[in-house]
Amino acid sequence: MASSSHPPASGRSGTWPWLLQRVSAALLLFFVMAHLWIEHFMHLGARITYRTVLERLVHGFYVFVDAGLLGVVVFHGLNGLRSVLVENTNDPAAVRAVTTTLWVLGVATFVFGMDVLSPFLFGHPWFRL
Amino acid sequence: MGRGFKVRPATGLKRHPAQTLATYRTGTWAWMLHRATGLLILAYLYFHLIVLSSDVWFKGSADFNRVVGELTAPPFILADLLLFVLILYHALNGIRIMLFDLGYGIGHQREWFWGLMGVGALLMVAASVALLPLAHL
Repeated sequence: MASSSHPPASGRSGTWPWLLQRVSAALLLFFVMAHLWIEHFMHLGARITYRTVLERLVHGFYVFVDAGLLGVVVFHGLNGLRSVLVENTNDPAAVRAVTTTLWVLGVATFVFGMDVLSPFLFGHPWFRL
Repeated sequence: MGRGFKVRPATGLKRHPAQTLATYRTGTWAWMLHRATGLLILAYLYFHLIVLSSDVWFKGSADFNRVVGELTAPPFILADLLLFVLILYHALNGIRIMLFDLGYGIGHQREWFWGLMGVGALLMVAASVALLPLAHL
């Protein structure tokens, strides 16, 4: 072992983003397949309406698939974007700025996504324009 | 105070672009396509959420039905299949990456690539057989 090599002073080696990208990827294999199957192939050719979506989302499993997919896909997508944005910098301050910005964007995107589901889950949209 | 350091730029050896291109092997293209498909799918995610929300935000269920009805029109069936290509590539190449991370198949990366692309082609054929009749071609 090269005992002279130290981790970065910030203590952030990037292990967690790397590991969580793989964990979220494994989860997405289930969520995306479930989502595509439910929306496109399960009732092939049947008309999708507000009412059919509403009736489907009465069941907890479908809420789990839609909300779970939303959370995991937003994390995976923005964490992937983060790795693209920081790959040419080793400045911890710049990396932190990117990470913070993407967390704010991610939380906002999750809330926005839940708002899309909200009329079906709560009977009325969270936000109105 | 940032403790960053600058990456030393490559020195010497100016290559013709065609020579650089010739050094790209299967894995280089796989990596570039993984990044490109990932960014495109992320862009689609925002498009998807905005399209599905706009109608409900502004009016109500009748407009949801109208928008979804438009989205199941023939041109969008073809767009769905294109989206399926992006997702399949990213998922299958992602499986390949995770296999190598776990220590499997490191000596056979190219074989795994083409094997999984074969699986992807079969899934694409299956999806096309299922969806294309809806596109009234």
